[in-house]
Amino acid sequence: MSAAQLAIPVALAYLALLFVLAYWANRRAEKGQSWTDNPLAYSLSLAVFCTAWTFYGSVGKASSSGPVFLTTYLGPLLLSPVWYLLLRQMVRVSKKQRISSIADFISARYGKSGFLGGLVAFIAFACVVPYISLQLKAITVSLNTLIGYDPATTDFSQMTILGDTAFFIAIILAIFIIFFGTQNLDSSKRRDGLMAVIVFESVFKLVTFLALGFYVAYGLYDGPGSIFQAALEKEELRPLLSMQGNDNLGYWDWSWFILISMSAILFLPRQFQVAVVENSHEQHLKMASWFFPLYLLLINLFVPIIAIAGRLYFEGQAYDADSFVLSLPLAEGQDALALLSFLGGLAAATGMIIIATLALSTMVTSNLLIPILIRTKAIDLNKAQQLSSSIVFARRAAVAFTILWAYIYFKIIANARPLVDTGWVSFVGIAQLAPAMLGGLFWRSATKAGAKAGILAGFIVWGAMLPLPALWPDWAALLADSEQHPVPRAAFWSLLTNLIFYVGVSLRSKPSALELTQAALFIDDEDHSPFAEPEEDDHSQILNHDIVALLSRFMSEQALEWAEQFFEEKGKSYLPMSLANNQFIQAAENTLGGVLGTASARAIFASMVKQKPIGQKQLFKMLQETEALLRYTREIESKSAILQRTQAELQQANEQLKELAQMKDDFVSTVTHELRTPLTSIQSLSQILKERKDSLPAERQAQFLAVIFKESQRLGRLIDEVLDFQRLEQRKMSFSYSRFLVQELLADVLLILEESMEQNGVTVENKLQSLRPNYIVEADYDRLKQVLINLISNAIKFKQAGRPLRIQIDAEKNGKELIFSVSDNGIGIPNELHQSIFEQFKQGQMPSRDKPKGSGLGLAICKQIIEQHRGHIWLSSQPNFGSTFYFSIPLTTKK
Amino acid sequence: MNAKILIVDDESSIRLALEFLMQDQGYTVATAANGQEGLAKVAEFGPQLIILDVMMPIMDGLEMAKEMRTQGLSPDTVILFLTAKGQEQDRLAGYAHGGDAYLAKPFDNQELVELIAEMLED
Repeated sequence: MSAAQLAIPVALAYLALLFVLAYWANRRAEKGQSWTDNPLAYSLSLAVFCTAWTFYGSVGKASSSGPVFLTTYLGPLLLSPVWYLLLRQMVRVSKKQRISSIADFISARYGKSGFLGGLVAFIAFACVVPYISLQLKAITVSLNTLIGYDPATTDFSQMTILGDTAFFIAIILAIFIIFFGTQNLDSSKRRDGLMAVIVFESVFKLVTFLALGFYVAYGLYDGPGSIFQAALEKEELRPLLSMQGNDNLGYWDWSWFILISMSAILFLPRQFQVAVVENSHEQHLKMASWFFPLYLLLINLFVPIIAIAGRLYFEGQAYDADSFVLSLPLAEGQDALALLSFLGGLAAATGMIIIATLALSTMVTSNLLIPILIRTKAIDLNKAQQLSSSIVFARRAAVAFTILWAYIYFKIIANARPLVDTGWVSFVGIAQLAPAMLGGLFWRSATKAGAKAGILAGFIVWGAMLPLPALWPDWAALLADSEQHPVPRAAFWSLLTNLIFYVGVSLRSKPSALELTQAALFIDDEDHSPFAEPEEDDHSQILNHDIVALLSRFMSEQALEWAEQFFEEKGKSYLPMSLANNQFIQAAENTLGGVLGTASARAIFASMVKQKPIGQKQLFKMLQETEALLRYTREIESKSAILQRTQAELQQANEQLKELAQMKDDFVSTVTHELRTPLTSIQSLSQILKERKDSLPAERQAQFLAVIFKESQRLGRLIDEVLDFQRLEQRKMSFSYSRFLVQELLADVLLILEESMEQNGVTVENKLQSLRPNYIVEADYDRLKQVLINLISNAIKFKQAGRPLRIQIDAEKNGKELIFSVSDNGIGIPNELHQSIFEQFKQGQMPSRDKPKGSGLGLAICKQIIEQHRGHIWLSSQPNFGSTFYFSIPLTTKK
Repeated sequence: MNAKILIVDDESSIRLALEFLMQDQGYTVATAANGQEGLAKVAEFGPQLIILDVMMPIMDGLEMAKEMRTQGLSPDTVILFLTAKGQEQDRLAGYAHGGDAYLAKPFDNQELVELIAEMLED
């Protein structure tokens, strides 16, 4: 039987095989023996990236343009070092948040925004449906090529629907997806049967492509070398071997193609589906990070060889480069190989259709349909109705709608374009999600408003520069720029606009509380996120039972099971009539998010559960509390600083007090000693006189009485000093000011001290005598006299033994003051005492050997008197050479 | 008996009273105005008892007693501290420096006389 006869039955058999495979895979998974839950299967499933575009279009592109087809695969290859880290973060976040699509991901990151979810779903639909239609076209073209139509001349858009096999294949695939893709209500759950099919197809398309490549290289020609050699000899084929190719592409274009394919491998909805949603273990990513690039390398190995071989083979004939993989074996009569090739292409196409449709339908239901139904009250949350079947129905309808729309698109538009270019239009469109995705993973200040603005702006520029010119020739003419390839140009402008809006608006807008929470969840490692586990004690007003009732309307009996399991994992039991805690509410919302999409779940929970799990108010409260805590901490810090200062001050004051107490003790001890000394002799002598009045000789009696009298006077002076000092210190002593000549005062003082000086052999030099102008001061005469007597007496007291004492008294004008000085050649005063000697009781600290002379209050009294005259008292002294005491008194001069 | 008593005090009026009281009791009396003089008098006069003031210029009573004890001057001589510093710690310091008795100023003549007689009997 020929390939033409076998084509349709083989295709149908192949599709039947997929059903069987998926069914068995599901059965095994139910028994816990999953075929796909391993790193190799996961790595292979990522090869859904290689579609009919790879299978047919790469060859077409290579044969018309040259090596630029490689950019699609170079992007992922170059990205692979970072790919692992990016994807790991995406997987972690998605598992935790039960994210089921890229629209859900972006919507969740930016505060569970329903609008963003819808927008992304719409963009994904707009960009991916043409891409699905490409796969339908590939199936149609390849099937018809096998049957005998010449792909170079047939217009497939003119075929009637019923005569078009692609239509039937589309219907079969829709059924397949509905059956194996929408079984589980939770879209974030893995689909084993479906994934088994994808893995099988990945292997199958690689094997068939490699087989064909071997045949062309070694069966048809003498190895790749000879093919390239032949191409180099032909002038029209030579550019295909250079980097510029036929399209005159430079580094700029290459860079953009590579950049776009990088974003495609991460953000194409079907890639997100297999890499993130269908990922069962984070560890699987490790193998994928090297295995998947290797797969890409292998599948591209023979692309340039087949492309150039095709050009050489069909030289001079009409040819469709996209169909070389079929037309080469067919032309050689290799029907089996041609059929195999066809099946490989079918595998590539169906794999893509299945996953892309599934991803799109999830987004369309969760992010467009359900939100609209809720908003329009078509789904009434307040009525106790069973909603799970409606949701499943909606999702199934969405699958059918997506495939149908892809088919219609194929009929209308896809006919005109070569496979690869349509793919690039799609890629650039999807790349508009890249800034919001990547920014969302790394940039905390990125906001919902920024994401919306960036995606919308980029999408508009994309629309204007890529699909629009194809629909509107006048616009195309306006844009026409022969120098530049339209894809890199559109990529550059759309992404630039996107970025400017994303960054600009983000910087100018403030994130909401929920956005901040979500940003933290997406950016921080879960262990470090302060929001990872909501607080246990929240005052929700909803019962556990209500939450389960809400869930069960979407998940039927699974809800109760889920709730029981939730509490069991926490080591508690499910109590229907207890108030729901935050963790439970959050987990329920996440679970519902897996069914309805994050944004819808949020919307439903926000309306049903009055107390939002991590609501704006609560977060605000949390922030306020944190702020209050910070403020409190700062206050405590400053207070403790004050406290420390106060403590230091207190300690110092305490030390001073102790010192003062010690000084007082010394003073008391000194004064009592001084009081006791005269008292002792008075008491003893008077006792003798009293008892021996009669027997004691008269001269003895007179001697004793004289001593008693002298000592009584001394006692009186001491008491006066103490009282004087106390009154001076408390400012209770009244001063009687008068104007007098300083010379008069000095003469008076010297007169009083005359006797004492004579006794002690003191010579006094009064420098003020007659030679000086007449200084007049206004002061208390007696007090000033007291000061001078005190200073001179001190000099006499502390004279140096064995050296005649000389005292010099002087007064000199200094500005508006008169400065007195009393100098002596006595024992002098050590430096450290110069200040303290004027303080009360300080004499007690003089070297202990020297018995205090007097109360120790003399200088303190002098200081008080001088200061109350608004003057100062100080001294200069050198031990063993004498001292000079100075004091100043405000002056008035008489002419 | 004709015991020798040395009076060391810087206050002449107190010396006067003490000297009279001791001579009145029949003791032989010598006086000094500070510790330094006192030490010289101890060697020269050889008293059986010393009435010693504590606070004095040049050398105080405590120091003098200490010097006496360390130099081994008249080991049998008893010392009576007679001082205006009457606090407990001063008393203890007096005993620590080799004093045998402690009497605070102002004193009662009779009390002093009895104490000295007692000290000399021991």
